[in-house]
Amino acid sequence: MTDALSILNGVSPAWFLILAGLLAWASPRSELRKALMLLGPIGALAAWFATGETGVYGVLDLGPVVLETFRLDNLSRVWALVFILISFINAVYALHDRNRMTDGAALIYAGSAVGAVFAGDMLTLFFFWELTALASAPLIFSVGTPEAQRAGLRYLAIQVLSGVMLLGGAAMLASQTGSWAFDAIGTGSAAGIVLLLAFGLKAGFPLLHMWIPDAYPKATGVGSVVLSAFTTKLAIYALARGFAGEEALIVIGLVMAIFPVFYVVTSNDLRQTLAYALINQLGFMVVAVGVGGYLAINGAAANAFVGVIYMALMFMVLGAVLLRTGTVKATELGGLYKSMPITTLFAIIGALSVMGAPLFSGFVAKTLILSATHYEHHDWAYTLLVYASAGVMEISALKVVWFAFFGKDRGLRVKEAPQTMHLGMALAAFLCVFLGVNYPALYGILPYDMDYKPYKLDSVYGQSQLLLGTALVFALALYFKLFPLKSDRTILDADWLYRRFGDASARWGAAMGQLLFDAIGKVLGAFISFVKLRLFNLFSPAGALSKEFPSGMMALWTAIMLAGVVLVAYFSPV
Amino acid sequence: MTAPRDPKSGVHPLARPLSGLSSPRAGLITLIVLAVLVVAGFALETVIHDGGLSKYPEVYGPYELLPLAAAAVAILLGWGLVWLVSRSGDFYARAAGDVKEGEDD
Repeated sequence: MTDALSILNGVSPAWFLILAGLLAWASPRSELRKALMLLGPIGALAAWFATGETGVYGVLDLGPVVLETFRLDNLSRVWALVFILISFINAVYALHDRNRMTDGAALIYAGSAVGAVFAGDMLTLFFFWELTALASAPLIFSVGTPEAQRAGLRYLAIQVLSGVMLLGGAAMLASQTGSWAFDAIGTGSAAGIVLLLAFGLKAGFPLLHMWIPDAYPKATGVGSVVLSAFTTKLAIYALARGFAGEEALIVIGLVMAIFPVFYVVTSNDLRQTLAYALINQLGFMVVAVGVGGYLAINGAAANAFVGVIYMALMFMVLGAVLLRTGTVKATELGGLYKSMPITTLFAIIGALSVMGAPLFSGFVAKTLILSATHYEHHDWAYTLLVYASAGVMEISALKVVWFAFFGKDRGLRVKEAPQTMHLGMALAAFLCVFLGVNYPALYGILPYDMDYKPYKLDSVYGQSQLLLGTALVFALALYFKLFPLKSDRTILDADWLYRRFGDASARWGAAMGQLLFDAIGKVLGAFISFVKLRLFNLFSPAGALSKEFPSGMMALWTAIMLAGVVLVAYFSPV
Repeated sequence: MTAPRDPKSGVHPLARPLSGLSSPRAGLITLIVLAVLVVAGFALETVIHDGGLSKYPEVYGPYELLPLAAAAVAILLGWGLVWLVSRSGDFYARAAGDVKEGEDD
C-alpha cells in the first residue's frame, strides 16, 4: 500500500480536487460528476498520506521568483487534512443534488483552500486565495434569486478585495525584505498591517465580518456547508502562520467571540444564527493565535479541525430542513422531530459539539484554548471566552435544535432527508463523537507535541455546570416567552454601512457629480459661445480686423511692437 | 415548496414514542429538571471543593455563576437590539428595488 502510494509522494493534494472539479464542470452526466466528487477527495487524501516527510515540494523556479506550491509542515497538514475530509463528507452529503455548477465549484473551492494552506510563498498563496473566492461564489449565485445574486456579488467583491490587499501587502513586504516567502510576518511594518487586514477580512474581524451572515444564509443548502468550512478557516491558518503571538489579536478575537451573541439571539434565520456562531468560533481561534505558544496554536488548529466538522454538520442539518420544508426561519419551523427524527439526532450531536459538551469534539478542542489563555495569564480573555462559550455557542446550538425540531409544532409533516444526506451527516457526527472520546487521535495530528488531558474533574464539572446553567436560562426564556424573536424583521449589522449608507452615499455622490458636470457644461458652453462671438466679431467680413487701416497708423503699431521686442531682449539675462 | 401541514399524519415511526415531547407539560418538566440539576451542581461543588464557587481563584468572579447571568442578560438585551436596529424584513430588498413602494410584503 505504501509502495503504491509512493508515486504520489510530493504531489500536492490540491491538484486532485481542482482537477476533479474542472472535470465535474465539464461533465454533463451527474453520475460522473458524483463519482468525481468522491474520487477527488480520495485521491487528495492518498496524496496527503503519501507525502510523509515534511518539506517543500513542487518548486517552480521562475527566475526572479521561486514558487513553493507544496510546503508540507506540521501546521499546514492539519488544515489540509480537515479540508480534504470535509470535501469528501460534503460529496457524500450532496449525492442527491444534481447541480452541475455547485458540484464543480465545491471541489475547486476545496482544492484551492488546500493549495493555499500548502503555499510556501505569497504569490502561490495569492493565486489560491483568489481561486477560493472565484470558486466559491457560484455556490451563492446558483440559487438564482435576485437577492442571492446581489449577495454573491457582495461576497465576491469582498473576497477579491482581500486578495488584492494580500497581493499589495506581499509586494510591499517583498520590496522591504527581498523575499516572497510566506512565514512569520508581524505587525511591525505597513506591509504587515495590510496583510493582517487581508487575512482579517476573510477571518471575519469585527466590522469586516458582515459578509459571513450576509452570504452564508443565501447560498444553496450544499453551498452553505462548503462555505462554512473553507474560507474563514483558511484565514485562521494564514493568521497562525503569519501573526502568531500578536497580542492585538486577543482583543480582536474577544470582540468576535462576544458581539455575535446579540445577533444569535435575535436572528430569525437559523443559517444566519449559525453564521454568527461561526464568527464566535473564529473569535476563539483568533484569541488563540494572539496568545501564541504551542498550546494556543494547537488549540487554534484543534478548533479549526473540529469546528469545520461540527459547523458543517449543523449546516448540513439545516440544508436538509431547507430541502424538505423550504424554509429555515425559526418562526416558521417547529416540531420537525416528528417527521425528521434521524436528522434531529444529528442536529443534537452537532449542537452538543458546538456547545462543547464533554465527550464531544468541541470540548476537547475548546478546552485547549481556555487552558492556553489561563496558563499565559490572560485572565480577562479566559473569563470572557468562558462567557462567550456559554452565551453564543450554546444559545446558537440550542436555538437551532429547539426552533427547528422541537418548539411549537407547526404541523409540518415532511419526508425525512434523503439517505445520502443522512450518510454525510452520519460521517460528520461520527467524527464529532470519535474525536471527543478518542481525543489522542485529534491531539496526535496537531502541530506541536503536548501532554494534555482534557478530561479533568474540574474542567468537566465546570463545563457541565456551564452548559446546564445556560440551558436553564434558555429554557426559562422560552417558557416565559422572553426570547426576542420576530418574524420578518431584518436586524441591521455592519453591512448597513455599505448596503444602505454606502449605497445612499454613492447615489448622492453620483447625483452631485451629475449636477456639477451639468454646471461645468453650462459655464463652459457660455464661455465657448462668448469666445466664438468675440472671434466672429474680430474676423468676420464685418469684424474689426477686416477693416482697412491707414498705413501711418499701421507703421506706428509696428514700431511699438518692435520697441517691445527690443526692450524684452535688452533686459533678458544672457 | 412549503410542506403540507397536516399534524395528524406523517409522523415518522421512530418519532412516535416521543410524540409528547412538544407538549407544554414536557417543557415544564424539562425546566424543573434543569433547575434541579443546576442547583444540585452548585450545592455539590460547594460541599466538595474547598474554594466553593471560585475554584480558580485567579479567575475573576464565580466561574459558572456569572456566565449563567450573562446568558440571561444577553437574551434580554436582545430586545433592546431588536428595538434599536431591527427593520422590516424587506428593508434591503426595497432599497435594491426588488420590492416597490406600496407592494405587499
